[in-house]
Amino acid sequence: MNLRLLLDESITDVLAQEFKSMSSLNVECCRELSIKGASDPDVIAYAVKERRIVVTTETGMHDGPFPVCTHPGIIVLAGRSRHESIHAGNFKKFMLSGHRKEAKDAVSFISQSEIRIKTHKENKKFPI
Amino acid sequence: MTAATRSRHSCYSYKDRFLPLRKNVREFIPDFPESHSDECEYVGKDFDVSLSKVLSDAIAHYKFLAMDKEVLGGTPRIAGTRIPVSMVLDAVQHYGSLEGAIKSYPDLIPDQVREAISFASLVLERSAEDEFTTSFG
Repeated sequence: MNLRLLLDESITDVLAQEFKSMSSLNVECCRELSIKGASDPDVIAYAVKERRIVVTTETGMHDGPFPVCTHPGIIVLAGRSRHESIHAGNFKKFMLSGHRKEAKDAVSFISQSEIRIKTHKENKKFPI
Repeated sequence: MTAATRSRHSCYSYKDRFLPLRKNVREFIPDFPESHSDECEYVGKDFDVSLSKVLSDAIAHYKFLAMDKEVLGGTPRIAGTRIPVSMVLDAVQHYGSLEGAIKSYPDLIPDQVREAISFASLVLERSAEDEFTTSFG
């Protein structure tokens, strides 16, 4: 089953095209929707309504303001190297890691070195 | 800023900016102090300032930038979008040009990218600017 994603505006156009080219993903972009420039709660509300996992580079969108299980999931593309090709590479590794289903109803951080997934039960950490 | 800190900052600005002029000044003002070393102590820049204040002071100078707690958790961003200033800077760094940033974010215009760069510069220089204002009013 395809992973349904909502790409935040901070995701570059080049990276968005990469996501759209992955057949295992069903992608929508904030900047192509009515929620362009919207507040964080409005983006999450749209994601809840459409059952989509939010993909962002914004580390402030985590389980603090948006507790796990109150939304379909948040994936934060984190790490110091924030170039789009690095993010794309990290995300592809995540997709092939066998953990992608765990991103549903969770908050996940994907960096160059590891994947951290916070669910309502536990915090998991995997090398990438 | 306390009076003592202000005094040290005056010394900092004086020594760094006007020491070379002191020789000339003494030609006209014979009792101009030889040295301030007994009166005050040299300290570096004052970095003991709140980052949120620095950011909010700086962003007030830019019409294309905004900060709002409800959007990106208060991260400085391009106004009317959810694009953080930091990501625009990353794009400029990677591509080495304004056009590169626009390739990453096609909805942006060059002036928005310029403001993002200028904002970063102003934030880094804010401390020095504050000292200058304190020293010279």
